[in-house]
Amino acid sequence: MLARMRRVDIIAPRRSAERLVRAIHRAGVLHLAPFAPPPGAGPTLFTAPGVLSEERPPAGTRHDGALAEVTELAGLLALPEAPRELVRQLWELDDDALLAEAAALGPVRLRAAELTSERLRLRGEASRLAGYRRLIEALRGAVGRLPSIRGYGSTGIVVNARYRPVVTLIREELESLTGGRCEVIAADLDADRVAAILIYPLRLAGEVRALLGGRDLEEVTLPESMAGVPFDELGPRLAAEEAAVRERLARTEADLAQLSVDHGPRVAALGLVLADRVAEARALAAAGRSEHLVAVSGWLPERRIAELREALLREVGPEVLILERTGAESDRDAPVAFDNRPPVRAFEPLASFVMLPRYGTLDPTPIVAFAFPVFVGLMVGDIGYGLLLLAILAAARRRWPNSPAMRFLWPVGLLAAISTTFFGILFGELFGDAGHQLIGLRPLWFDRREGALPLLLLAVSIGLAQVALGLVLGIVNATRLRHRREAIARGAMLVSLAAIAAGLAFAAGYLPAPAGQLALLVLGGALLVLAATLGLAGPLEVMGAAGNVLSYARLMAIGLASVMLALVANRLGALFENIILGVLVAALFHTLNFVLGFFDSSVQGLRLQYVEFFSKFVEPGGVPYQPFVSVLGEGGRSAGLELSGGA
Amino acid sequence: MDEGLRFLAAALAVGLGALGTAWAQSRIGSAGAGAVAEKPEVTGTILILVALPETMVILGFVIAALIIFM
Repeated sequence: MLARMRRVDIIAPRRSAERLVRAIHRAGVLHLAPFAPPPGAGPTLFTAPGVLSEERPPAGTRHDGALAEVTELAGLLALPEAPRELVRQLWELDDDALLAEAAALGPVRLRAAELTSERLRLRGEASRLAGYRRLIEALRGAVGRLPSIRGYGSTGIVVNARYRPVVTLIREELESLTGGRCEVIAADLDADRVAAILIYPLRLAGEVRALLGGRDLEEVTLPESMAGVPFDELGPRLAAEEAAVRERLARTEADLAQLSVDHGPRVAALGLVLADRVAEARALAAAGRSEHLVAVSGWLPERRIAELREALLREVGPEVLILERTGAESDRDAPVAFDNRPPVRAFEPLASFVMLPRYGTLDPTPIVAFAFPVFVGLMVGDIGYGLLLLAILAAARRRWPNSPAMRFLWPVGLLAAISTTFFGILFGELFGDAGHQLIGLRPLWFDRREGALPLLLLAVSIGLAQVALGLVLGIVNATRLRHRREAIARGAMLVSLAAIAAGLAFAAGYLPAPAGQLALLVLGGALLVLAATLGLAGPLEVMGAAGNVLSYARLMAIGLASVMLALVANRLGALFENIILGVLVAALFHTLNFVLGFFDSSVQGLRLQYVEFFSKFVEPGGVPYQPFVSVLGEGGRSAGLELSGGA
Repeated sequence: MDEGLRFLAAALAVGLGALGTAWAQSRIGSAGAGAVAEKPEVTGTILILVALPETMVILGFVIAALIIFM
C-alpha cells in the first residue's frame, strides 16, 4: 500500500532557525517543499521563499568554499569510506569548529597538489623514455651495426603501418637536406606501427624538426642529456634513466598513498558533513520568513508525525509548532512512499520501475509480488531449475550477505524459485523428462508437452482474470480521483470483455443460445457507452483489451519452448556413448536453457504487468518521497518499517 | 491436402508474425542500444520495450495453435 502522507508547516522563532533545520535533517523524515501559504488563505505573515534549487546553493552559505576545497582534496587522494564515528563527531561540531577543521586541511591540500603534479610529470617522463627505449630495441639490430658518430643527432618517429611509404619520403627529403649525410633505419615496432630513427648532422637539428613538423607523426625525442650519445650506448642509458624515473615515481606515489592513509578518513568524513551543512542552508532558503518566525514546509508519512514532533521538542524546544494541513487540495502534490512489509517490499522497485503511481491511488506492488513469481514459475516450471536457482541464490546470499542487490534479489528470486519448483511438481518435470526417465516422476496436473491446448486456455484465462482485475482496480482509482468518465469507461470495458468471453463460450457450445444473444446485446450496449465516454476510439479500445488478454498466451508459448529445450538437452546428452561426456553436454544445454528460461520469463512476466495490467489502472505521475536525510541517517535507519519513494 | 493446407496456414501465421516482430525488434533494439550507451540507467526500460512487439508473434502463435488443435 501507499503510505498516507501529511503536509506540515513547522514554525519556530527565527533565532532557532538553524537548530530547527538541523533537527529536521537529523530526524530524516521530512520531504521538503518550498513554503507556500495554504490554498485560499488570506494575507500571511510569512514572505515567499526563494526557489528550492538542487543545483545552485543560496548565495552566502558559509560552507560553500570549505566544501569546494575539501572536494578538491578528495579528488587528489584515494579516499576510504568515512568512519561513522568520525562523521558523527564532526556532525555535532558548530559551524566555526567545522570550518576550522576544514581550514586545518589547507597544508595537506597543497602537499597533495604538489605530489599529484609531480606524479603527472614523472609518468609523462617514464612514458617518453619507455617509448624511446622500445624504438631503440626495435631497431637494435641495425643500430648495433652503426659506428658511433660524434656530432650527429637522432630523432625517432613512429608511423602507422598503413603509412609506411612516408618513411621513404622522409628519407628522400632528409638526403636532400643533408646532402646525403644521413641515415634512416626503419623496423616494425608492432603489428600496427613502424618505427624509424633518423640520424643527421646535429647542426641541422632545427631544419629536421621543421621537416617533420605538421606530418602527424608520433615523434620520440631523445632527452637532451643523451644528445650525441653513441647508439650502442643509448639502450642501456635509457633503461637506467627510465628505472631512475620509475623509482622517483614510486616514491611519489608512496608519499601520496601515505597522505591518503593519514588524512583520507577525515577528508571523506568532512566532505559528507560539509555537504550536509550546505543542504541545510539550501533548505533554510526555501523556508517562509516573517519578522520573528521561520516556517519550514514539507511532507511526511502521517504515522511519523509524532516521531518528528518528539525530535523537535527534544532538540529545539517547546517553542516549535507543527501545523498539519488537511484537505484534498493539499494532497494533490503529495509525494509517494510505499509502505509494504517483507517480502512484498522487495517488489516495490519492480512496481515503480516504469511509472510511479500517483498519491491517493492503489499500490500495484502486492499484485506484482504475487503475479510475477507465479508467471515465472508457470513459464519455467521445472523442479531441477527451481532448486538450482534456490541453490545459486543461497550461495550468493552467503557470499554477499549485506549487499543491497541481494536484499532485492533474495526475496524475489526465492519466490520465483519456489513457484518454479511448485509448477515443476504439477507438470512432472525435473530437468525436462530426466525425472521421468530416471526416477519415474509423473505430472500431478498435466504434461505440458501433450497438453498444449489446455495450457493455452490456462494462459488466456489468467490473462482474462488479470486484465479484468486491472479494470476493477481502474474503476476504484478513477472513483478515488473523481474521474467519473474514466470510471464509467473502464466499467463498460469490463462488461465488454465479459460479453466477448460469454460469446466465445456460446460459440464453443458451452452456453445456450439465449445467453449468447444476451451477451451480444450487452456488448452492443457497452460499446455505445464506450463511444459516449471515450469517443470513437472507445469501441476500438475493446480490441486492444482483447489483444491484452491474448497476449498472456506467451505464458504457454515460452513455457512450451522451455520444456522442449530441456528435452533437446537430454536427447543430445543421450547421443553420446561415454556417460561423462553425455552428462557434460546435457548439463551445458540445461545451463543455457536455465539462463535463457529465467531471463526471458522475467522480462515477459514484467512486460505483462507493465503493458497489459498496469495500463488498466495505474495512474502515473507520482513524485517519489525523498526525505531530507543527513549522512547520519543514510543507511542507519533500522527500526520500524522503511519507507521509500520507489525505484 | 486439407491437412497440408492447415499446417501451411499455421506456419504462415507464426512465420509472418515472427517476421513482423523481428523487424520491429531490430529497429527498437538498435535505437535502444544507442539510448543505453548514452543513459545506462534506461537499460531495464529498453529491455521491456524490445519485448513489446513479441505480441505479434504470440498472436500468430495463438492462431496457429487454434488452426492445428481445433
